[in-house]
Amino acid sequence: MPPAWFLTEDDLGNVAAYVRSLGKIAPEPLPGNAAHGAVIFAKAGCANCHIFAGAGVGFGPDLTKIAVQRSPSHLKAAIRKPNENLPEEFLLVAATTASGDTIEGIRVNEDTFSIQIKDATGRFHSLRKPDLKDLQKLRGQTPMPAYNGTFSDSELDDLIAYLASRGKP
Amino acid sequence: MKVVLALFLCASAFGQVSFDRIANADKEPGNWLTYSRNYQGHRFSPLDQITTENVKRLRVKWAYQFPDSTNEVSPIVIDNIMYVTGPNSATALDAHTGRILWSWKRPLPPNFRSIGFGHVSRGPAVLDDKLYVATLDCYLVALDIKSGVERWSSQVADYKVGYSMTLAPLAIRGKIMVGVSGGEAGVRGFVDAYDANTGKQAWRFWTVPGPGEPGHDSWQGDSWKTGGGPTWVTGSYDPDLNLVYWGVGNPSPDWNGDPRRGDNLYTCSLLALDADTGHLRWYFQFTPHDTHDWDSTHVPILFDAKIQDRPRKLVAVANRNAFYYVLDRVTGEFIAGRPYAKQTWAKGLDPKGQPISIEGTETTEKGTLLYPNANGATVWFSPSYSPQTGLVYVAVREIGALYFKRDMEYKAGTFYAGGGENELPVDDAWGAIRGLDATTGAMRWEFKLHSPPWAGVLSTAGGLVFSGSDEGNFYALDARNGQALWDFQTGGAIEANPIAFAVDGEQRIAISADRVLYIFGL
Repeated sequence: MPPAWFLTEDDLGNVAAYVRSLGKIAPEPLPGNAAHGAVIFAKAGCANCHIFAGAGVGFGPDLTKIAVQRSPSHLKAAIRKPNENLPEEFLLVAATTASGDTIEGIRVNEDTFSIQIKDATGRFHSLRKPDLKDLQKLRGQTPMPAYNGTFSDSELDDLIAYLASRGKP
Repeated sequence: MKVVLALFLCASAFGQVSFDRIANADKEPGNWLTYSRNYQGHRFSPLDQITTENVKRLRVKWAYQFPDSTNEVSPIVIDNIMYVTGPNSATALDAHTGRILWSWKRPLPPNFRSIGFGHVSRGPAVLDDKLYVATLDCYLVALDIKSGVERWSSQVADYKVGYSMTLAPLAIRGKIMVGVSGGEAGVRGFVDAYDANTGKQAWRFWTVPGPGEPGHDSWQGDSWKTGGGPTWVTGSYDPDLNLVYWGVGNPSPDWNGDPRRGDNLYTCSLLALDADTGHLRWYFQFTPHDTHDWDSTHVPILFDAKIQDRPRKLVAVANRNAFYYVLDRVTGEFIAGRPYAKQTWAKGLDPKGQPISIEGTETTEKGTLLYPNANGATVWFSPSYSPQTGLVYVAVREIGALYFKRDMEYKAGTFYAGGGENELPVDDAWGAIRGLDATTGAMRWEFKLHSPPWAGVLSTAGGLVFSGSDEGNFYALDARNGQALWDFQTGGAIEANPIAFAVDGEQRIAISADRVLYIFGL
């Protein structure tokens, strides 16, 4: 975090007051059935890409505390249309090597000369950018399927109740 | 007899860096005797052992860990000894090994506050038997170069009202020159010269003219008293003309121009000052009535070239406002200028080099989207000029911002900026090293960087350009075409200027990356 040298004492007080006010937003209800949500979670294959309560594949974001960090309405929107709700630093990339292979995955780091990519199996690839034939930054895209229409509203409630249970429905 | 002679030479060379030695820097390609290696601000090394052919073999020879993070130092090297500075500190290092020979530190007062800048020091200066350090709490300190013991210390200004010093002093014949930070605290800026032997002030040039002085009418009411105009980057010097060229920073408050109607001289200008008296020979204002924090605090590049078949003494500045300027350094006459980075605030420059501003680009309450951002298209880190290629190499920041203004009352020793900016998202910003034709600013090549840089540029007679990235890459480019030839991941953000020097005749390259100083060689 960069130092906030430009803030006066008054500004600091105002920022602190604002941050405190954020905690006063009314919590949304969790009407779903967590046990039913666990079945949906397994059926949809969420653990093929996400770790939740210690189990799964570490490709997508860790879901263990996601229901603490995000509201139910945000989670519903992200499950229905994940490409419209990407995390700030998330970027899907496709790199084509000199031999013609294409590596698609999440950018985990990048500088002027190199890029580090994690593919869907969780494997890391370290690539020299000058050696690549092509590097596509697939902004607005995600390997996560859109579940818009796949689940009913009450099924999504169940799924989110399960996420909120941290694996103990 | 040979042994005695060698000892004598060693003793006479060590610790005796005369003005003539610095003025004739090219006679000592293995040393780096002043901030930009020569008085002309070139940051060019005549060393040519490391070349476009062998640079691939460059490797770390040693590293030195600073006690503090984020180091912006440009070291001085004299006869196998390197001198570095940190915040209120200086250290002499054995250039063979990086081992400490002496250290000096002056405690920062507990009530010291950085208002608008980091706790950094960009380097020392040397003259005769003394090393000169500018401190954050605004003292110019002369150290015995052999021991690091204080010879004298002079208070330049009062840090409690927002003055500070982060720059490397400039040592010329018998005088040490410094400038101050404080453009975000509403200080009244100046350039100072001190007697090198005694520390007594020789002269002061106020960058905001007082009542009765030329330029005072460019300020509204009493706004000149808190008008800014800091001078926080080391200037250049022409020994033949005996003129010092020094850049002046932003007017205060930065983002709200309402309380200071007028051109606000000499903010955002280049000054040519008589080195003996501090009298103003000429000035050139790049950004009149600035409301975007576009300090004109850059190292001016002095070079000679033919303009329309006539030999001219020139000074070039790649300005924070995204325009590149070439001026006659005898008279200040505008010769050429053009944008070298994306800018959306001016249609261009008029025949006298003044900007033709686009309406609606002043800061507003709601915010005004503009390129470049407040850190500018380039900022304090140094450009480089290679007499071999005739190109000026500039580290360029391609980033815009939403500028906004706020009402603000001046209170001494506090932040007085009148607004701020919101930068565009990281992935929309990028950077580059650009090779510009020195006489016109026309771009000859570009090497793209992942993000806007904070590192300066070094060029060498080996046909190379060195610089660093914010992600820690230190790299070498072909000076002719910008092709990347070598790179090394240092592990820390590079916010410093590279230098080249020699140890026992072998070429080295040095760069600071966060808290580590790396020395590379073949």
